[in-house]
Amino acid sequence: MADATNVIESVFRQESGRIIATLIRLSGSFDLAEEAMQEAFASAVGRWHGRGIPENPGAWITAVAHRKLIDYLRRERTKIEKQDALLHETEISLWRETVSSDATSMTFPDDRLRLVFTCCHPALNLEAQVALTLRTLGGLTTPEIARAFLVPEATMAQRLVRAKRKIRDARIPYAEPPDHLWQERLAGAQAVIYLVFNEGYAAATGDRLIRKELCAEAIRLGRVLCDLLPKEAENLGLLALLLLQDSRRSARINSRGDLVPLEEQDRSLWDHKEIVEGLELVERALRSTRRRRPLPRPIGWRYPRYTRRSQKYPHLRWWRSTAQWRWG
Amino acid sequence: MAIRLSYLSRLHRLRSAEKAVESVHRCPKLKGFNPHVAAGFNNRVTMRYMLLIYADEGAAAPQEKEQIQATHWAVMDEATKRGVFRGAGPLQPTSCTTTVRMQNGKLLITDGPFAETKEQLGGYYILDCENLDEAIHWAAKLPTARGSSAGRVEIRPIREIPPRS
Repeated sequence: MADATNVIESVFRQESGRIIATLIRLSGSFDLAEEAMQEAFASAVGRWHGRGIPENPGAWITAVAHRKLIDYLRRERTKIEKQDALLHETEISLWRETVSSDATSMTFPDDRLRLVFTCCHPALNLEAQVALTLRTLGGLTTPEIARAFLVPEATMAQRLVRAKRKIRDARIPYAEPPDHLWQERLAGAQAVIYLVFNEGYAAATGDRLIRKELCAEAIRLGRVLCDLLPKEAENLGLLALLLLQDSRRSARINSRGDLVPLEEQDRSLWDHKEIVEGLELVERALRSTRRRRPLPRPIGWRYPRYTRRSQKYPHLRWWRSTAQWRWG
Repeated sequence: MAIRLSYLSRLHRLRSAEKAVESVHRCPKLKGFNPHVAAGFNNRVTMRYMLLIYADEGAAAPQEKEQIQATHWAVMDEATKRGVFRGAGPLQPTSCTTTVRMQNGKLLITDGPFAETKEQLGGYYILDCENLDEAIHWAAKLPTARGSSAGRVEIRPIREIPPRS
């Protein structure tokens, strides 16, 4: 009994970002996607206790939520057709997806990149970007985000509502940016993640537990970005930076609440696993961006010989070694 | 073989026409005649955006004005070619502006714009774009710099009101 609840909680924490990204693409609306996902999780609580946990829980939840969306839209369509609607729903791609009856074999494409770039769109203001990213990708609830940023819950809720309304009314597209804008939009997304981390790391006031959760959330988002775009050295660098800074969190503040400078910190309190991982990421990032010696090279420059001639021609070694003896 | 091919191509054309009609009916916004759909190009569901150009009107040098005008013609041509252009207009400077408002039931007429600002509204474009990114793409092409001051373009989505029945 408790088994299934734990599994559901862990599925939520790991997969909710991916599930909601797909549902937003299918329904065209943040609110509808969220409602459908919540209902799907509620039905999972009921079903999984009795029938056991399916092989691919994420896909199961997505499939159930998808069906709920279709039901909802069938009911709403008759209502919408009767009104002379001023509603401006974007074209719903829901109708084109076919749902197979076997939930475990279904694979949904990973739409998280679209979600990242939409939540971090420059047309939204920075606070809205951060709030929306934490809400959708991070899976935090509105009160949790409000507590983390030390604003009243109503303010944070209003911020989220306004951001979603802007995305709907101004038609911010739910898509990855075109190639010529890719780098700056990615930089925007990285800035949002770093802001989240900084909020948890640098703030001296507030609940210590929330601060730690914020840092952990930022690192998790950094990992998601690295999973989605492993070839970008900047992503690896960002995650490395977060890990290396986060490794020192226990040693940064002494018992009186003052900041301890780096030289005076107790190194045994540093998280060495994070340091090792961070340094590894730095190596990977540097390797992926290392360039060969650029042109123009100076005249007469040759590649240095890395192997001895005998290593390259092992079949001649015997001949040369015996040649002197043979011919005297 | 040739007969089957022509049958298939007719079927395909019929099916894509059906899909186009279906997509029109599915979207509640397109019930009835909507003149704002990009007719004849493709049946995409688009939205009009008004691009308002704010620039410092006093700062433009005379040779700059010609260049600015040429850039505007170029943008208009390209927008027409892409099928997104719905209108544009330059505005007379704020020295020709009149503000009218009702105060205590009386009509109050004053000389000058609504508010004195460093950058003034200089003109507008109306473009029919698929999403905000496309509108931003067009806004980036508009010339807003006058002399040393860089102007800005405000992008406002136009609310679509269904035609009166």
